[in-house]
Amino acid sequence: MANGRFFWRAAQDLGQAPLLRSTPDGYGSQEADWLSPPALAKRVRLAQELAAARLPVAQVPEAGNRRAAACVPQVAAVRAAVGPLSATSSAALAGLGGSDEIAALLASPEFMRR
Amino acid sequence: MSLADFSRRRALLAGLAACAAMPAAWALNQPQRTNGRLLVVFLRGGLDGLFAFGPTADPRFAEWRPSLSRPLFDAGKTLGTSGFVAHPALAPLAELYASRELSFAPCFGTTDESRSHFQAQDLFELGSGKTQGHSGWLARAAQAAGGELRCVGFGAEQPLILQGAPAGRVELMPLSGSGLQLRSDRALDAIRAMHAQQASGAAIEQALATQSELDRIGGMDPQAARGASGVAAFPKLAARMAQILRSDPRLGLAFIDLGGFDTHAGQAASLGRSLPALAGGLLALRDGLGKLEWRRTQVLVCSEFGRTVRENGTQGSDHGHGGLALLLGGAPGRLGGGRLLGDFAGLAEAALHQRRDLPVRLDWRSVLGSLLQESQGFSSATLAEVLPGMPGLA
Repeated sequence: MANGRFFWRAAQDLGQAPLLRSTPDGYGSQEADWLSPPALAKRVRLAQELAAARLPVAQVPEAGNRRAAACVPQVAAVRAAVGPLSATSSAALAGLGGSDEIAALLASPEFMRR
Repeated sequence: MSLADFSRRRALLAGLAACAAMPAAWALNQPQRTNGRLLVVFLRGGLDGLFAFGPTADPRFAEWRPSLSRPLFDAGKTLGTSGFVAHPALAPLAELYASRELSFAPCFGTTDESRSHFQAQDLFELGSGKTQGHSGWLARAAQAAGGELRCVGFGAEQPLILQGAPAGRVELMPLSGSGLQLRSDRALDAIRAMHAQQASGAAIEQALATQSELDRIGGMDPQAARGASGVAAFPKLAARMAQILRSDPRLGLAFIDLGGFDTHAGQAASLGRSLPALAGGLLALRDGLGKLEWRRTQVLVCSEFGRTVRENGTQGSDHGHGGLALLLGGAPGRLGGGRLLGDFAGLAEAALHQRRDLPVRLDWRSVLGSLLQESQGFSSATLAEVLPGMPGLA
């Protein structure tokens, strides 16, 4: 993957780098294990930067094309990934478009709890 | 003038005379503080206390540790009449011992005998005598203190010691990294609205409030280490920590953890780098707080366990039991300054725990309870809730 290093570093920054858990119990999936102000802030920040294409993420190059194109998230794809939204989330998203909408979707409570 | 008045006048004059000779001594007799601050500096990995403060007066020290004891014999700094010397890299701490701003307990620890980092850290942080639980003792202390007291963890993740308090009772302030610098835009407004009715919403709002406060104080240092606090960064982190603590006297309970102390091999080189950073950080904290704030602050530095008395075959040491705790502060308080706390029975094999480790002669909850009693004015009943099973409580 052309973007493997980026996602590794992102996971590390979020405190859950793959295979680097120091204790044998693995990273917790309960809210108490990961929900904290700095952790939430990092997730929101990552969502904002991804949505605005300010991070060095590249698409996997197509066969015969050695250069990978820059990855610009698409709203439809992100909505499909997030899944159903609550009434509160839908109301909050009303009127948003483009990178703002993508950032909000990626930082939504529904996506964080998937 | 009554006899009682005359006696009080003589006592006062004698006290003033004593104060002139020993400026720190009067603090020992002060009434119990209730406006104090407790900061816990937790060294994860199991600091080798005997390498930091070694009993060079014990003939078995060189016998059990032929290579690891050498720096202390060659250039160690004497710690009064305790029979211990400080590793040369901790010379500044020896000076604090001389000025009665530091005491140490060579055989401090918990009841855990597993020698597992995982279990021993949980036991220390839970403070209940159990290895399972959902609330840490510092979180319970924050809840018990109530009022305007603020409890802060200087890190990006919430350790067990700070878990379990009601929302908003414990704050996290990372001292490094840039994760808190959220962009204020329409997306952030929507995100805040989406999370508003959930625990995650409170967390986001607290993150924003923390960012505002840090910006007001001086802004984040983008060059500092990312993620968890490594001891190498401690001097810089401690200076920042002091700045934050000094800015708000309501910050009465605080915690920071540092890594890098699990020294199974090549210990002299590894701790040769870590110990100066530890000492430098503690001094930076003291200097940054200033005299007034330092006087109301007590700092406990400890680890989940100590290490084996005998060095191993790779010039290191392995997981042990009793270990070193340091107690620092500008006013010695009930535990006193410039003292060896608990007792030390020497390094004869028969005196060791399972004939290999230092025993625990000073229970961690006894020390925590005393510190909380002094700094927060906790009653015995409150301590029984914060530190269940604490020795000495009825």
